[in-house]
Amino acid sequence: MTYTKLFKEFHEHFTLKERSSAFFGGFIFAFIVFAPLFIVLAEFLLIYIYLINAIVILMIFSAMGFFVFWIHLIKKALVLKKPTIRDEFQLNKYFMFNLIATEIVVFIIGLLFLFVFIPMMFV
Amino acid sequence: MNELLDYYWSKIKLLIIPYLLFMFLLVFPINYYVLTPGGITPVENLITVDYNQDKVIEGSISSTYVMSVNRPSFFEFIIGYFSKYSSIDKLSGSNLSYTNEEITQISFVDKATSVDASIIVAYNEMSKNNSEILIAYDEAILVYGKSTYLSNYDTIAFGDEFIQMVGDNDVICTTTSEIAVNSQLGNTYTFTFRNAEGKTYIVDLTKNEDTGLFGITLKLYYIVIKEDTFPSYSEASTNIGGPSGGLLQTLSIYNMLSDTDITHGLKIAGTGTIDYDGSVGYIGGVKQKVATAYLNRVDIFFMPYLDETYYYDNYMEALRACEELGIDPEGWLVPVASFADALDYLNNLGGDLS
Repeated sequence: MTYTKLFKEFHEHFTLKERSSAFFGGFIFAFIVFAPLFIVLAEFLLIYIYLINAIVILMIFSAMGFFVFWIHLIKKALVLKKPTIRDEFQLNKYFMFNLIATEIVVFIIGLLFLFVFIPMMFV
Repeated sequence: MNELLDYYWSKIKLLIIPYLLFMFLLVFPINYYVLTPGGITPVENLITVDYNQDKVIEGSISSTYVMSVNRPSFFEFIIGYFSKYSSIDKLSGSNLSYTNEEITQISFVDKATSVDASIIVAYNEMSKNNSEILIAYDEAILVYGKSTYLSNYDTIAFGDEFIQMVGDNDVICTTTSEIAVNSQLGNTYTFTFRNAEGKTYIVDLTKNEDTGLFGITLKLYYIVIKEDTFPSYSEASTNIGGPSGGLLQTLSIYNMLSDTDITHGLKIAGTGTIDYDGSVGYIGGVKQKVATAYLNRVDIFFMPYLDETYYYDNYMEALRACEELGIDPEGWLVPVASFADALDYLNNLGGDLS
């Protein structure tokens, strides 16, 4: 099944309000969980600036972890809204497409920071 | 969202207090500062001179920066405390009354003026042997400090240029000494400044009743007149402030102007402010700078050395830092008192190598 078909089917199963609620709720919860981690890494970065590359790599993995957790929570919220959804729709497969695409973007942005923006910043 | 809240509510109730406590440790600022090692940045990334473009520079000349975390959170304080390279101290003096943003602004004034000082010293030195090199500069009195009681505090920014003050009996004062002499009769005087955008503005400053002072610190600098200077040069924008790159900036600019390569293929770094007469001045964060040099495996590291009897002389401090960190200073930590010392050292090194 192609992503387009999954996308259409997903929109048939859930209303805009249900989708928005799951996305927003997932984001808030994921943010609450990951905010301390991001702050800890940022503060480690300030104190151990000479380890900037290593810490930025950790930040890239943390950002990727954030999106994994966000999408997990979106799925959780949608299943809680419709407990039988997994029998009717390939929820995991649909979100796996989204997750892979998001992680690739995050990874590329991370590499840009590592090799372009950070060397530019410390002139 | 409500589903998630209901589902995780028992866990949220359990974790909310530790979570808020941990967040407090992460964000609440305390009146200390943490100095930690930073890195080295090649001066050529900051300043490029349009001269000798075909010359190949085999080594590198880099300035050294350290990280100063002003008003760290408890968490930053704790991790800084456990780092062997970091130093922690209480914020004191005027820094205590400045915001972090203002401290940063002052450091950028220091950086900008140190670049001009480096240009002046390097061009002057090179012009002795090369009549093509021309340097022109002018005096400028800049705002360097502000007391909390300064009237019009927010209007006047660090780095703004003082133009004049209308003194007693309408005398126009354009120097700091004239201000003191011609502000005896009244309390409020009219000052004219020029901001970073080049716009002039007029403010009335009133003396503080307790101190009898306006609450503003003005400092004399020399600013390069780019139009009358040859060869031309360009400066990149920087995120690193402070004057401590002065000596290395001067060496690098001199090397750009010189026909020979004074680096001899070595990775040269160091620290020290530069004065207009070529003398080197003290810097802070010696231990962190030594650690930065060590971590970056530099071949030569210049350190200000002005008075061996002074306990806080930078070179003496650096030797103690080397001992504390288990670093052998032999062969790479080089004491200098002036730009000429550093240049002589590099020139003699060339002789030794050949």
